Amino acid sequence: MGKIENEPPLPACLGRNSLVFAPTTGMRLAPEVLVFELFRELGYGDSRSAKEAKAREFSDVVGDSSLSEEERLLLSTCRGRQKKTRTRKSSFFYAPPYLGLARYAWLRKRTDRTMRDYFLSGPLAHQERLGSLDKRLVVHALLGHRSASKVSESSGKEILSLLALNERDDPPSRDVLNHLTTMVSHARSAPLTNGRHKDSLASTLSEDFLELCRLEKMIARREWLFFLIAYLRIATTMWMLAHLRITVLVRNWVLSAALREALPSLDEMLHEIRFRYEGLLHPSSSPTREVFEHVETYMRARVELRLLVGEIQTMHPDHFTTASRDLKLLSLNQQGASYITLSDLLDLAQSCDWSTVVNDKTLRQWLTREAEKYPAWRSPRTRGQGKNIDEFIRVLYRSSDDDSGSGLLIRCPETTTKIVPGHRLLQLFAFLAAQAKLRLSGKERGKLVLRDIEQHLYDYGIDFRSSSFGRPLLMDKLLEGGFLLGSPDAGESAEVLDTIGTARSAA
Amino acid sequence: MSVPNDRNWSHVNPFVTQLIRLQQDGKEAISGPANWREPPLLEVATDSDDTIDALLESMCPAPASARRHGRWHWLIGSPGNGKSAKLGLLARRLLERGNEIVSEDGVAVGQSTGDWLPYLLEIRETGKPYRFAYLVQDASVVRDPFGTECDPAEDLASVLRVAAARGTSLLLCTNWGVLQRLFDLGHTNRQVREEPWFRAVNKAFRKDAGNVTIPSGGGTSGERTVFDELEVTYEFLDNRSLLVNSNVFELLVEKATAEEKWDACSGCPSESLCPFKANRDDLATEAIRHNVLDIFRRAEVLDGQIIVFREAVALLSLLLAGCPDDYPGRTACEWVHDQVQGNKFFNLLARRLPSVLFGATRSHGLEGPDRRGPGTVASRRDQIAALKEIDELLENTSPVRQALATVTLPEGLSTDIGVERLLGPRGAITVLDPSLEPRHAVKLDEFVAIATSSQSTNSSGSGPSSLGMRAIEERCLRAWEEIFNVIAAAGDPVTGQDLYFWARRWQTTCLAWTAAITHGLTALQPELDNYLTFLKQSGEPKERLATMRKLEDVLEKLLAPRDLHGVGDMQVELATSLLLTGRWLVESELRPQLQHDYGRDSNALLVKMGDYHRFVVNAETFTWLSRQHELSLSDLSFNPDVLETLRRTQAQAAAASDYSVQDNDVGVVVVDERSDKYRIERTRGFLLEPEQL
Repeated sequence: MGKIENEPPLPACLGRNSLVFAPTTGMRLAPEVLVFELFRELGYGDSRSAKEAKAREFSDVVGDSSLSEEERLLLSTCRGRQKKTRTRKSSFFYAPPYLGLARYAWLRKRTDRTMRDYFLSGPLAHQERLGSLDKRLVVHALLGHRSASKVSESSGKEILSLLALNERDDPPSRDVLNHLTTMVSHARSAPLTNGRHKDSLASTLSEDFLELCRLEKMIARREWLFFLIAYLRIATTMWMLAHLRITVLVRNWVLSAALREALPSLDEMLHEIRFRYEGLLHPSSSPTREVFEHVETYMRARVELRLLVGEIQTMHPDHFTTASRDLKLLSLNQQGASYITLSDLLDLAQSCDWSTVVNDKTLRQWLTREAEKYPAWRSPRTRGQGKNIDEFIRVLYRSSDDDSGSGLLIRCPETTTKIVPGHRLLQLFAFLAAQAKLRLSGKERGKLVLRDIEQHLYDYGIDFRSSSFGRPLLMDKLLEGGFLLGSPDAGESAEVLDTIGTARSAA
Repeated sequence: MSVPNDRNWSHVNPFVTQLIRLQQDGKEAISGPANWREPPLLEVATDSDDTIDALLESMCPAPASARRHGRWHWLIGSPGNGKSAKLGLLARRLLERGNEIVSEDGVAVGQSTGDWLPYLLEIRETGKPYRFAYLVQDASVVRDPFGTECDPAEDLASVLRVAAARGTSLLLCTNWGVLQRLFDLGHTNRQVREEPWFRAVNKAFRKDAGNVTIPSGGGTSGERTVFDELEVTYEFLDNRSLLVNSNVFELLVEKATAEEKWDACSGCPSESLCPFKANRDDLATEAIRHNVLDIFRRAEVLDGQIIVFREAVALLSLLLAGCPDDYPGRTACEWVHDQVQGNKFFNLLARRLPSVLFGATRSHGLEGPDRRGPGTVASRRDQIAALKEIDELLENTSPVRQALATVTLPEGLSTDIGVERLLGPRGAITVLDPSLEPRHAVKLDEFVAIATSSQSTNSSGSGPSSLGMRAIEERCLRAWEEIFNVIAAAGDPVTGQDLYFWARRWQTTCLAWTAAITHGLTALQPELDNYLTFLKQSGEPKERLATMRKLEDVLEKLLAPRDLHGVGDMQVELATSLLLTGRWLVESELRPQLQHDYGRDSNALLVKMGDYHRFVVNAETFTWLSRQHELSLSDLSFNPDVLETLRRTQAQAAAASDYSVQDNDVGVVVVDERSDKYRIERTRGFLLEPEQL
């Protein structure tokens, strides 16, 4: 008996760069790994020689002769949590303060590239399509606006950049720019809008990333680095969760079409895809499985979509290949020989004679009977891609020690979670919401109020507005952090302090 | 002692009956159009009342040749701050001048009663068809409560648009929430932003920016405008304490206790034992009034939120007319007569000023609700069981037995008396209970000793009245004495000890509360009074500065990173692996500094770290810092959440301080993976070699 596959075979039209394709991902043991991975991608394009095929972590090199004493101390300034190891030797996770330090460690060669696939080639790539991504700003921020170089005057430069200055070997800015350009030019999915609208989530995430890059020249590098980590944790995960929803939506529409049920108009479908991020997470008074349910729903939809599209492709093979016999990719509405649009796919699903497939069952029965043959459908969070996604989402968890409060979820017993935003995350959101308000209103933003924070969290898919528990929780956490001013009676109009922006604008 | 039956037991003071309407759910709790024609029961002049005539003058149309300026006046503040009361005063003056106030659907003030509260009211000169001013009493509600898409900001915008187009005056009551929404509306909509009325919103937003004048007209109907220009003025009522730097609360007390309002009590058979009259007499006595107001002040600063106008009058109503739940369908006076006739003097004591303030939710001064846990000494259940046993020991005909029966009954007096924030189980006044303050133990013991011994000897000049006690307390002291006597007479040393403990504990609690009123003793007294001197900026400035300095030292020590001997004088923990240090840090503004919050019109002390990071030092934190300085408390007794926030605030302030680009005398201590520490100093822009500590 051959090996049981986790999922049905992938129809070519749903493959890489199609509307629904979700690149693979995997566990990140600590949030510091995200910034390290970003630096590797942009600093080195993450190309490695054969001898670097196996992973090497900073904890492996700290203490050996590869690092100078100064470099070791520099790395120690951005130390994360301690690793949970069985050995007596204590080791830690590290975030490299500068790109040059990232050369000492790498992920294994055949690993997933989540930072590229769900961030650089995700929201940033969609923003790049609109031509509004300031790539030079990103490069300068990553290299450090106030970073000293061996030839520059050290006065007024960042203190951390002076440590290990002689050993620093940052990649040249043009290399970083090239890597960035390459990655943001190759979006991992087909366009998510019809060209008339921008994709709201991609815009929010990209604009916020640029604000963060502008901030780099104004605050201490270490502080900025940890804000970047807080941002990457939430931006990458929410983009991923939102992206998974597209598969669920397409599965629903294809199934409805196959059942010849009424379908929403194309504009309505576009609207649903544009606002796919809305209400992904909700705070609640008791722990919930909401985040896990997203993964489970996605994995089941993924298996079912593969089955449905596989059958459609079998019945109408000509519609899935170009004249030169190349395979077409599913797109939202991108015309051209290499694409099959969503509406074409739905038309095909409607025109198929499903009775030959389902025999004496109904289509829904057939789909369930077929899907349940696959472990990824039966155990969506432990088999196949679902396990990887589930593991990556853990980057949002607040670890109990040294987390600097930038997490969002608290893992509760019995595989449930609660939304409890950390103070650093709230501080960051106060800054980002203030900047978003400023962008919207011009030169004067007025007071930053609780409603603005709620709105900005909502724009990421975290809905503090609809549950009665959300606002009190948010107020509590803001109060705890010392960010909430004014009378608690003020409700959504209670003033929130943007500690980062206030200090910077006054300076 | 029995009460003769030949007295007039139908005696009623109408003022006491009227006072009930001021309680939180009473008819006059909120000033509204239905009661605008009559002045409020407790009307006091405030600073801003002086401007009312000028305000009215500028709102109303003048003779033909005179000015063409109208007036918009906005009252901005949180609920209960007195906006509606002030609007009521203005409305009354407008009515006195012969104007008509009519709702949009044509109902005039005076024609409707009850909870009638239209969104918009128009003011017209009698006999003239056009309106010259609008009144909006509560802009936080929506104009059409049954509409599908309601937004108070949109509704208010439409009123401002119409008032500006027609050139009418406007009196507006609003809170910051609606104003903020309106401001946002303009900032996200250019068309709105450019409308003339939005300038008024914009100015309101910058509290200190003064007044603004906007042109009228521009409406689409082509209607003639009433005024050519509209001057917009603002009155901010938030955070205006009625007690701190203000005498409004005291004026309210004086108004409520004015002799003429209580003349009706003379000749009342219950006068000497009436708790409400006794409360009035206490509040009319200057020393006791000041003690009570001091308690309110301490409660206000401890809670951090001011006692608003509505709470103030509800409190007075409760003290002077009791709780309506005690006498449903009857009057307070009738209830008092019943209690007096039935010898229920412990009930009367429970409605005396001290018992209401400190024990409103602990009926009759017994222990609080049952909580049998580790360390719990007292239990209400045990105490009631003991009192029931005492009841058995008393003679059937004893009036004390009648009185005691009311105490042990499960359905006692109502504990749902309103003003929960102040008088609830964890209310700001309740926690000032003097019996909770160990430092008052000696004084309270002395007070109890004098009260009990003098009442037993009844020596002239040193009786309970010399301690500020009145007939009800004296009656209760006699009852307690009788109780102790019957316990002693029963002769069972084991049971007797237990009964004596519970009876004495009950008596001591009630007397400690009395001492709070007559001698001004409350928990946290010196610290809260000290905190008040900071808020009021009163007292000797040098003393204040010296105290501040001491408290700053305590704070600095509290915030200093632990387990880092030999690093230097001052460090700020940026992370577990990174500390900021160096001479620059000592000279920087990162050392915690206490300061009064001058800027935001609020009563708060702040700890300032760096230029922009502030943290509110509430009265609880201030009290701990003061006691730490005085008594060397353990750091572990400090609220850990507050400590964490303070540390984080300091770390944020350090991170925002540009330490990282300072060229001179700044250093960091790096803690490596082996917990070894290295100091790295920067001077003249250059880093020195790392030095292991």
